[in-house]
Amino acid sequence: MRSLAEQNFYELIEAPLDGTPQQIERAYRMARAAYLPNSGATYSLYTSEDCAAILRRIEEAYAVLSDTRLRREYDARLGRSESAPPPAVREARAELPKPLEPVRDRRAEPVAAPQRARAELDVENGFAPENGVFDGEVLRRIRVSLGIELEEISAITKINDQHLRSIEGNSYDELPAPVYLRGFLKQIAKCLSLDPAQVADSYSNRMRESASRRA
Amino acid sequence: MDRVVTAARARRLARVLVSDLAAYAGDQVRIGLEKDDLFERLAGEIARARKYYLWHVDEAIAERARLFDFALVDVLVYGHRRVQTHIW
Repeated sequence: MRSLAEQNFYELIEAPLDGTPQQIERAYRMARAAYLPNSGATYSLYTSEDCAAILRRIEEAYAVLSDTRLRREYDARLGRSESAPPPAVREARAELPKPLEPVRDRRAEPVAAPQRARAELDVENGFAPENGVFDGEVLRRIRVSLGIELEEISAITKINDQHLRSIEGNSYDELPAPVYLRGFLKQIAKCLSLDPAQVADSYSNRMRESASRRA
Repeated sequence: MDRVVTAARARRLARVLVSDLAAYAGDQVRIGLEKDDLFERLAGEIARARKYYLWHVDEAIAERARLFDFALVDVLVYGHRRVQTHIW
């Protein structure tokens, strides 16, 4: 692995080379949160002086990557191809709906095993939710696949980590009032670069279905 | 989830998994440290997290297994260093 001094700005904040401004912004916020004083992510890896130096470099990276002209010049210095589409085009592409995952035919599959413990992640399950349904487990899988810790979500959104665990665990009885829950779900979705309204609607529908089944 | 092919991302994934393990284990980490049976107590959860990690991290990463072990010690032990226990 290359040292921090050798990493380019994209590697430093773990942003894709062709990232949209939103992706750069998000990567910057995550990188910054990881090196702030008392961050759970790095508390034992770096001294406070190291963190301060890294934070300065992260700020420098963001100053360049968030400015279209400076970023273009920086990309040229990195030797990147000029054939990449301009940010506006990439932004528009990022807004396009993603292709749906193929729905598996489960009729021929064996009877499902007993339900997993709530905190257990399914090794083979993919990233995308089936049928566009976002329940707590799907949100957790997406979070883990993005490399974001629960406490980072809590630090960014200011949502109590007990609430976050209840949301991810589909512990509907322990969730806050619906009006708060919807706001929480939207904030979580933003952190995970998901559609806030879709996540809030999907999760709420799932919760109502569960309540009606129990009634 | 995409295959993890860099050590930086592998390290990150390991930390997230172990951090999740601790978050969802409630008081078990503290009790495990107090009774000096942390890794036996959480053996099942650790094994599942390790399985998930190894499943997604590319074998070409030389330090693959050690990165997960580092995360275990870093998050579960050092992260709870203020727990009163006879271990230290």
